[in-house]
Amino acid sequence: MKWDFRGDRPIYAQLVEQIQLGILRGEYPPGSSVPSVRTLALEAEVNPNTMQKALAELETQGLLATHRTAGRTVTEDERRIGELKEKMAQEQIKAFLEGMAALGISREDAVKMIAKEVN
Amino acid sequence: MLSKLVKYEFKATSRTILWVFLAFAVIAAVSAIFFGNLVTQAEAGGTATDTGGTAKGLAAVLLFFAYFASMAVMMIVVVVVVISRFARTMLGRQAYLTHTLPASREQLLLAKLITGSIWSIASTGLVLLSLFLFSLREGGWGDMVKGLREMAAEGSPIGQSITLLALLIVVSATAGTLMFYAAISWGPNLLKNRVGGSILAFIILYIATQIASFIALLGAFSGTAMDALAAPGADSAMDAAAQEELLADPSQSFAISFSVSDFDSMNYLLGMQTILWVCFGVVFWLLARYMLRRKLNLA
Amino acid sequence: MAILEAKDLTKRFGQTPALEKASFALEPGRIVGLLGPNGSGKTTLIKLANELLVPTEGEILVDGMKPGVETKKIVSYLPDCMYFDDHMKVGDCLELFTDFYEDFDAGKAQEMLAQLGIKKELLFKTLSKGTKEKAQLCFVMSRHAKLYLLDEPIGGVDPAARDYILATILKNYNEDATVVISTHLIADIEKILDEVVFLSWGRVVRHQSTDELREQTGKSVDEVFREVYKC
Repeated sequence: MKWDFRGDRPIYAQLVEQIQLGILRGEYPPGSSVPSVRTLALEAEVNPNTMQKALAELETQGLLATHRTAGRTVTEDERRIGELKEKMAQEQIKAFLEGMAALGISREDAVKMIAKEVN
Repeated sequence: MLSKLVKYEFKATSRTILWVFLAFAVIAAVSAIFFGNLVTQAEAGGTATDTGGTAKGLAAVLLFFAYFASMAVMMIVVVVVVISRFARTMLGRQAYLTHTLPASREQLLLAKLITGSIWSIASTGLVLLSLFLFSLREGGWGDMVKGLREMAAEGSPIGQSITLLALLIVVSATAGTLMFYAAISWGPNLLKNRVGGSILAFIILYIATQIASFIALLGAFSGTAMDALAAPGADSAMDAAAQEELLADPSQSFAISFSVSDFDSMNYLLGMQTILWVCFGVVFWLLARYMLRRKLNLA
Repeated sequence: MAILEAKDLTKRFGQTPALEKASFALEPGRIVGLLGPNGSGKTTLIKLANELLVPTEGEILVDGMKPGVETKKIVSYLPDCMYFDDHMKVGDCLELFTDFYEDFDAGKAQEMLAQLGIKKELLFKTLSKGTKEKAQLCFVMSRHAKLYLLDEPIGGVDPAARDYILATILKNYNEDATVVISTHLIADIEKILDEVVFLSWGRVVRHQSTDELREQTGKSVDEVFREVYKC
C-alpha cells in the first residue's frame, strides 16, 4: 500500500483516511487481520504513536476491532463498510460540485456533463 | 570498570612501547657483551694490530652512542605515546566516546595514570637493569657499580639509599605522568590553541615545581646544618673548621652538610624529594580532575 | 517520571549565553525533535545531558538523576561528529561497546553491520562518510537505552542514507525509551516526530505535539519552523 502525506494536516487524520481507503479498495478485506502498529508505522514511515492513534480512532469508528488473541482485524460488518463507502462517496461528490461551482458551472450543467461522460 | 579501562589503555599503548623496549634491550645486551671486550682489546691492541685496535675502538664508541641513543629514544617514545593517548582520548576526537562511557572522571584518570606510570617505571627499570648487566663485565661502568656493591657489603646505609631511590623513581614517575596529564587538561583553558596551551601549562607547572623544590630543600638543609651545629659529638658532627665556615656564611649550609656524611644527607635528600613529589602529585591530580570535570572544552 | 527534564537550564560561555532558562520535560516512549538553527543551543543541551558540559545555572535531569555515571548507563549518544578513532577496526568498537555497556546488544549490532555490508576487520578510516555515519548509528541504536540523543543524525548524508537512518530509528522504537533528534532539516523527519521542541537563541519557544501543531496552524512543522526563524 502506498502511503502519501501532506505536512500541513495532522498525520494521524491522514492515516485514518488512507486506511479507510485501503479497506474500501479491498487491500484490507473484511475480517482480515491488520498488521501490527510497528509494522504499519515502519511501512508508512511514521511514528508508531501516531499510527496507534489512527488505529484507535478507526476502532472507535467501528471499522477495526481488537481481539485478545487474534490482534486487530478489519470489521466483518458489511453495513459499517457500506456506510463508510457512502460517506466517502458523498464527500467526493461535494468536492466535485464545489469544484464545478468554482469554475462557474451550475449544478444542472454539471449533472448534464456527467451524463454525457457516462454515455 | 577500572580494570576494563586499564586493559584498554595497555592495549592501545603496548604495541609501540614494547617495540622500543625490545630495541633498547637488544642494543643494551649487545653493548654489554661487546663493549667491555672492545675497550680492553683496543687498549691492549698496541702497535702490532694498530688498525685492528682503532677499528675496535671506533666500534666501541659507536656502540656507546647507540646505547645512549636508544635509551633516549625509548624514554622519549614512552612519554610521547602516553601523552598522545591521553590527549587523543580525553580531549581529541575520541573524547566524545571516552566521556560518555559509564565511568567517572576519576576512574578514567586513574586508569591512564596507572598505565602511564607503569610504562615510565618500566623504562627506568630497563635502564637500571642494563647498568646492572654492565657491572657484570669489565670496563668503566662495571667498576663503578662494583664499587657501590662493595660499599654495600661494608655496611654503609646504601641499602636504605637504594630503597629510597626506588621509591623516588616510582613516585616521580607517577607524579611526572600526572604533571603531563594536568598540563594537557589545563591547556585548552589557557589558550585557544590547545597544543600551545598545554605546552604553556606544562612550563608553568614545571617552573612552579622547581621553585617549590628549591624553597623546600633550602629550608630542609638549613635545618640539618643547624642541627648538626647544635649537637657536636653526634654521628653527623662537623669538625671545627666546617663549623666556622658555616657560621661565617650560612648560605653554604647545603654544601657543608653534604660533605659531613654523604649517605645520610643523600638519604635525607631522597626522602625530601619523595615527599615533595607526592605533594606535587596530589596537586596535579586535583588540577587535572578539576579541569576535566568543570572545564571540559571539547572541540 | 520524565526521562529528560530541564529546569531553568542556563549555560553561558563567558558572557555568551548558549542556553537561557530552558525548561521542558520529555516522557518515555516518544520521538522528539529538538529543532532550531545552528547556534540555538541544541548541541549545548545535548552535551549537558551527557555531562560533557556543566550548567551555569539551573539543572538538567535524566530519569530524575543529574548527569553522571548512572545516567551514562541509560543514555545512548550519537554526536554530530565521528567519535571513533580512525585507526580503530569496526570489530574493536564492537568489543568496546560490549565490554563497557551492559545494555549493548552485540548480536543486533552485528546483524545491522552485516546488512550494511560492513566487515568487522575494516578500519573506520576506510569507510566512506555515509557508511561511517550508518555504522555509528548501528552501535548507538543497538543499545537498549532509555534515552537516545541523536545530534544531527541526517545532516550531510545522501537521501538513501537518510531513509536508512530514519527507518532504523523507527524500527528501534520502544515504549520505554525516548529518542531525541536534534536537527535543522525538518521536512525529512517531521513524519516520525511525536513532539517538537523549538529552540531559539537558547530559549525554548515552543513545545507541543506535532499533530497538535499541524491542527492549530494548518501548516507543516517545516513551514512553522521557517516562519519562527525567519531572519
